[in-house]
Amino acid sequence: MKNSLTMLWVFALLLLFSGCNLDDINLDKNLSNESNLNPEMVVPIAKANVTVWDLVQSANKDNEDGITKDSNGLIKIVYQQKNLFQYNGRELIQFPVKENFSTGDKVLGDILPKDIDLPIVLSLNDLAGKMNGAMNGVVLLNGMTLPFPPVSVGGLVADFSLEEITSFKTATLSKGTLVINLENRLKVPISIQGSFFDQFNNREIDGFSFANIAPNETKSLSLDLAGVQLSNQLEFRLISFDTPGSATPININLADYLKIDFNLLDLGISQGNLRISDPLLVEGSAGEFEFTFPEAETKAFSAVLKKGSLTISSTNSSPITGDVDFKLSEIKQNGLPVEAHIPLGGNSTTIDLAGATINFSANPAFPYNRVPYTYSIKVNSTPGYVNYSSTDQINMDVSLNEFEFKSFTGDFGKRSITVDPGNFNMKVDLLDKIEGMFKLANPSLVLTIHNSIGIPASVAIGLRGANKSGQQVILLRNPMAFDLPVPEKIDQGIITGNISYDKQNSNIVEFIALPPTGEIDYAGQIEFNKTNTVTAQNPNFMDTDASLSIDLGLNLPMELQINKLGFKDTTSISGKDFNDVESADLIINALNGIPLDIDLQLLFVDTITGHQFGASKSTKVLSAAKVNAQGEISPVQSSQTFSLDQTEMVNLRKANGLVLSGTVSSPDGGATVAPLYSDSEIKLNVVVKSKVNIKIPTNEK
Amino acid sequence: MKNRYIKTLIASLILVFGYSFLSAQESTTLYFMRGVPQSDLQNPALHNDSSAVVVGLPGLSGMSVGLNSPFAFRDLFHKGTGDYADSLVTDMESFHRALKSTNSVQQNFTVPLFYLGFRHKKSFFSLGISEKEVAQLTFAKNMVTFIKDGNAPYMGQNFDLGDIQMNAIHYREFALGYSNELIKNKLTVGIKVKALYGKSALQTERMDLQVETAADGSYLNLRSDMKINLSAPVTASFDSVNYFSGLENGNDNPKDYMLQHENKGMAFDLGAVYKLTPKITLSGSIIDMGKISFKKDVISIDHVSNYKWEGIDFSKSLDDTKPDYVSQSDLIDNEMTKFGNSFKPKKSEFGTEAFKMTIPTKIYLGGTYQFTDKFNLGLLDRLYKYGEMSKNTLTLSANTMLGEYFSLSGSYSVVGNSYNNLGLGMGIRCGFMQLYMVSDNLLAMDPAKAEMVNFRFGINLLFGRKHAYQPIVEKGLE
Repeated sequence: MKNSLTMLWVFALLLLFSGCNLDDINLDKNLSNESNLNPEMVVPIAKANVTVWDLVQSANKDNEDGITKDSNGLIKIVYQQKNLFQYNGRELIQFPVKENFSTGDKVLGDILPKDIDLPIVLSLNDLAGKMNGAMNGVVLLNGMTLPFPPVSVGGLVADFSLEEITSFKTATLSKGTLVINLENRLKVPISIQGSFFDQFNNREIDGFSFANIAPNETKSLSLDLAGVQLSNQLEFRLISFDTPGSATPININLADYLKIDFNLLDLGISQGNLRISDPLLVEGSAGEFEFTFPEAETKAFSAVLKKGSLTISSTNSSPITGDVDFKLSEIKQNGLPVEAHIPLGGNSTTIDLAGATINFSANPAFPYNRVPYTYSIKVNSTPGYVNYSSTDQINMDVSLNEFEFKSFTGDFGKRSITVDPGNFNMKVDLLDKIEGMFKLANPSLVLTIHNSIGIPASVAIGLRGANKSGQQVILLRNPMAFDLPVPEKIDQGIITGNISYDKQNSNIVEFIALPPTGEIDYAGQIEFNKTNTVTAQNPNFMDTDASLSIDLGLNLPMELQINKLGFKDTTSISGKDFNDVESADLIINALNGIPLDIDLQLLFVDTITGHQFGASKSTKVLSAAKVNAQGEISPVQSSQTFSLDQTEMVNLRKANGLVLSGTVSSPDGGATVAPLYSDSEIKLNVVVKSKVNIKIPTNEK
Repeated sequence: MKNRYIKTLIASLILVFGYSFLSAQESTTLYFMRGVPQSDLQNPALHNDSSAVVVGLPGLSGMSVGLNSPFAFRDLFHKGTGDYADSLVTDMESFHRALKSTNSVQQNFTVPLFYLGFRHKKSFFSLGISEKEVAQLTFAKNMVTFIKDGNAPYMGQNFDLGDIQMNAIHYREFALGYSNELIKNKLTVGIKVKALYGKSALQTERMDLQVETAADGSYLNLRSDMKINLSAPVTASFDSVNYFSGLENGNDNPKDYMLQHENKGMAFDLGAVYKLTPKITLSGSIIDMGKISFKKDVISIDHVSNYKWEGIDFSKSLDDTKPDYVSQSDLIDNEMTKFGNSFKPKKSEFGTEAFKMTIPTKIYLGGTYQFTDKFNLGLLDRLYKYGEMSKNTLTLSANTMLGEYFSLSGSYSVVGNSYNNLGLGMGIRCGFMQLYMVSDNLLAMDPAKAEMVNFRFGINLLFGRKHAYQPIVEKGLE
């Protein structure tokens, strides 16, 4: 029995546990990774409060596109092409570098000697001795006090020699005056008649008479000496003497006398045998030099020399020596006229003219290109007598060497220069990527002109752009030509002015809307003094260092009018990564302060063959902020869902590339201008909603 | 031939022993099983064996392992179809359907170290020492719902994943039992006083998770609220900013662990057996009324977090010229660190306050109808209560003695909402040695189908036995 029970017990145990089925719980061996665990998860993955400026900075870290903002925060693309055109002022006008002038043959002119005084004193005794006894009665009364007896003598030739003149032996006077002064020191009135006589030439120079000269009275008379030839040996000849005597007794004294002065005044000696004891001036001369510019139309009014020198030399045909004082009154250094002192017939003299100013307009008849000069000659004293003639000649040569103008004013005439054709590339990637309707509301192009050339000018510059499809637009402006900014004064330096091309005066909106990708061609013409009248009061002027340059600036404020402006980007993916994703939604919650609608579409492609497996639906992912008529922006709250359904997920799994194809539009399909302000903000929250087949991790390979 | 049987028996026992590690639950079939003295573990007044002395020794007394869950393995994993016909697939739908609004998985493990029971006149005295471990995980169906469906269906809602309770306790029990026939042939009562020494414990006072998903998906609000107590030879470590970084071994000397006695507790068992009529016997008991106070190596964490996740904020990662620019990689790292730290307790949220843990209490109410001397039918209701979780088991059993040495019980149990639990208990006596095994759910032989499994086996040394099948009450009536 015991054995039977034991057997029963063992049998029961074996029965029970042989039926123990552990296969179903051997997870390591049998468990597949398949499950029906496919939760649909909603997870916010990213958020951002992003301003337009943040986006700009992020996408354009090196700012190669020249994106900036104005004072109102409006985003704009600025492109600048420095020195689109450059011109040196010195190329505009040709300047002479050397000028030679000559005064021509000039006569020396008259010698102007000092005045000569030839006095003579004649006593009563001297007179009595020359009157052939006519005054013997008087001689007898000498010392007595008696009435002076009357005397009347005529037909005399009583000569009295005058002191010899030392300044010349002979001279022909071109001018001069003989002044005779008679002083009566007798005690009775007298009348005389005489002659001024050249003893050497034995001829009377002139005769004269004095009548009824009271005692102690002096009388004068003048005689013109012009054209008179004189020697240095002159005498006074008494021709008649009369006195009525005195009715009353007087003390008769033979020492009583007459005094006569012969004064040669203001003499001009045109020729003669002269001796110059002291240096003296001879008559000078004046004239003007005329500058010759390579271009006949150039009329210079004034100039400043950067460098240069003046060389003066003279030739002299007379036997006299002396110095020439040469003066250029309209060429000044440090405010003083340029003067040169050169020896007659001697070596040349050179003067540095650096910094000198020149006035070319001193001659009212020809107020340009002319410089006046004057000179005078100082004759040296002579050791003896020399023959002198006022018609002896001197000549002065003047040369301006290696001179270079720093600046000058004048009338430079009508001129034109060409802005050589060229091109530039804005290299704005944004424009290169544009597909679709694109228009900027207020683009502008500014030509910034830096000019220090004082010549009014008219400029016309044309630009031509083309887009990727070859369509061209020429940028036109009304008026096409514009005036250069011109400095008012020569020392004003460079002044800057801007010439704008905007939507009011040009077709720049259409030009930018091309959009102009690649090279932009340009060419132009500058015409000087095209319409203005140049006067001395309103001259052209130019520093020879003056320049003209033109910068170009494109200012593209992001006030967009765009409709379905496309953008694309391709990224590599592995479609197998999405094998366990049943569906996927991208939920974009946004408070959008940016007035742009954005639509997105995904294209599933094989990047090797280019085959496209399909595409997602094009879905709006961002709704544009509203813009009112005043341009004020009101943020718009939106929640958009970008979904991939099961068919699209199948296509996604086949692909190895994903093309993000999107479009951007300003509000109302591009009808409303969308200003992009740097501080416009989008509060963005991106949520992924996805149903995923979760695989159970196992050891299954 | 005999040796062959013995070998077969040993092999079977090894199988049972090994299997018991996989599945078992404290048996209700054992309660009325005749000739097996372990019935006093479930009712200190109930003695289904008449031996004068019962001895259980370490290594011989067997062990008990139990696992109870509201779902079966096959609810989650089962054989697939088509290409997966030879494989297991994960079936979240089935698993989800199997769940109740609140679900609890309990596990216990008991190793008797020593047992001595002896009878003196109308009294029975016992002394038992056992090593016990109990663990329970409670979670709401919502948690699985969330895992299965995701949060998409709940946009605009605050989805409560419900409380998660994780409680586990390891303690040593010293039980001193006494029963006495108070009314001759009518009423026997028993009591056990238990001194408990806790070794380690994990207590979840609260752990609530909520996920709020914005209607437009723009944010997830993740909220957690937890209070956890731990007593174990570990120490908490913190990172440089005082966030919890992990647990490190403290005193890892096994001897110190096993012999520690700082965490003291007390429990009681009360029981009664009343013979209503000669054929009808009623009994009832309350087992393990008590708790343990944990004071040693206590770590308590009180942490509330509220994390609003709105995605990674790239606002400062776009313009690297700005002074507050943060690179995208740094941004993601920072956000992930912030996210992680929000759920990590800070050092300031840690404490060392002592805490108390109750042990699972069981209430048994039952009765038998005696058809013959060696056969009766029993009906037993068992209420298991641990914390806020309770589970009722109703077991109908047939119990018999085949001869004087073989005890056999068959049972059918309704465990919670599980109705497919057929149990079997067997015991065989060879001289003073008795081998027994019992399980409430033979379907656990196919674990994939089992929601509840338990198994108990052991060897008793029985001395001075008069009638193996005669309960003390019956004996007293003679």
